[in-house]
Amino acid sequence: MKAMLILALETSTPRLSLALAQDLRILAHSESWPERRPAEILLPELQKLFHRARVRPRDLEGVAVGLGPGSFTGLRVGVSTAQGLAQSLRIPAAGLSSFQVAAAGSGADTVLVVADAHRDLLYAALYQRSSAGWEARLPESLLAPEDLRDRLPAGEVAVTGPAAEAFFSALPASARGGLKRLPATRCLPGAEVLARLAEPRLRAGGVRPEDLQPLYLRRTQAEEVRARGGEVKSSGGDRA
Amino acid sequence: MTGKPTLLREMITHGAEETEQAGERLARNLGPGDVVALSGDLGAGKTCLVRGLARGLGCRPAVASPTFTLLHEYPGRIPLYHFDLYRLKTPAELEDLGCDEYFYGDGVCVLEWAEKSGSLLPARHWEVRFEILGDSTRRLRIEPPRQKG
Repeated sequence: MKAMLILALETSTPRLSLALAQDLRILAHSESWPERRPAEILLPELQKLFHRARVRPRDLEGVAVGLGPGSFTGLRVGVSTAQGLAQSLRIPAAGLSSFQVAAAGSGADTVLVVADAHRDLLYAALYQRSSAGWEARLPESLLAPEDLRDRLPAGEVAVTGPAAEAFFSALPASARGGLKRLPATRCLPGAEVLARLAEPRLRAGGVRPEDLQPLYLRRTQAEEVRARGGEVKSSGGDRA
Repeated sequence: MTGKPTLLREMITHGAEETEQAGERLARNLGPGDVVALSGDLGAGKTCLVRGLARGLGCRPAVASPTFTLLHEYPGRIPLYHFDLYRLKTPAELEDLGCDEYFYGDGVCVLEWAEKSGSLLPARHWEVRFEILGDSTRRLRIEPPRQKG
């Protein structure tokens, strides 16, 4: 199988994570915490990454991007950059849930991923490692912490994601059950893991750039849905 | 010396300059992540208060936001984001513009027509109500945030 050069962009959290991978080998990666808007540093960081890996953008054969849920601006910048590269280079693109990426990077098998959605709400998903890959037992959702608690399975569940620490600390000891806290360093989705997860999809042809859509879970939409008595599930995503 | 001034909950201002000074005083009680909702009739002095807030926060003059026509940004150590929601049709429109990154961000947000933001307005917010008493006299009522979160 021919080696495939992949760029992975994970911009859904305050940490900007980038990786260049070939044959599951990481050629270069970078992690930065932009003080200002991610848009201002993404392209310069990419340029440094290509330079360090001694490859050129035109050598890319696939581009992968984390679709969130997460930072609104970060996702717009990450997804539009991935779209621009895929379109201009005519290479396949793949978008994955940033929560799946966080789960896969946790080292655990049953993983709850949480991020702050403000106003006492959380973005959450529950992923389970299986022989076929990662399965979402609770798809990316917008919900209140107490509702999330009621949906957790029995048994050991690792907690990860940008709000892992806050969610865990806010739980009374009696409600922690089988929840296991991961070290903060393993809680954010990283581009190296994203590149690895996306590779099979990119080899299979990926998706068209215009089919990459951030996973926005909108509060206003959630309220409309809840008013009708329904549940809020993620929309958008990489419609592969 | 640079401590917070006593917060006046209610005051009468006589002219634009005094309203601006009220904004400047209020600014010293504000920090990153604070949201201020303004209400009052046209010509009540809301814009003067915003100018005072910007002065009090040590901001540079406003620049129109490149991406967001409802918003003016005053860059500075603590940036000020001035939203005029008069033309907003639905709260969803505001959400689609990424308002949370301002409301829970690095600066102070001040909103005109805040009621149009519906439930997107953070529960923890300041309120300033303007009442026109005469040609140039205004009553300002300032309500600090009632709840956390």
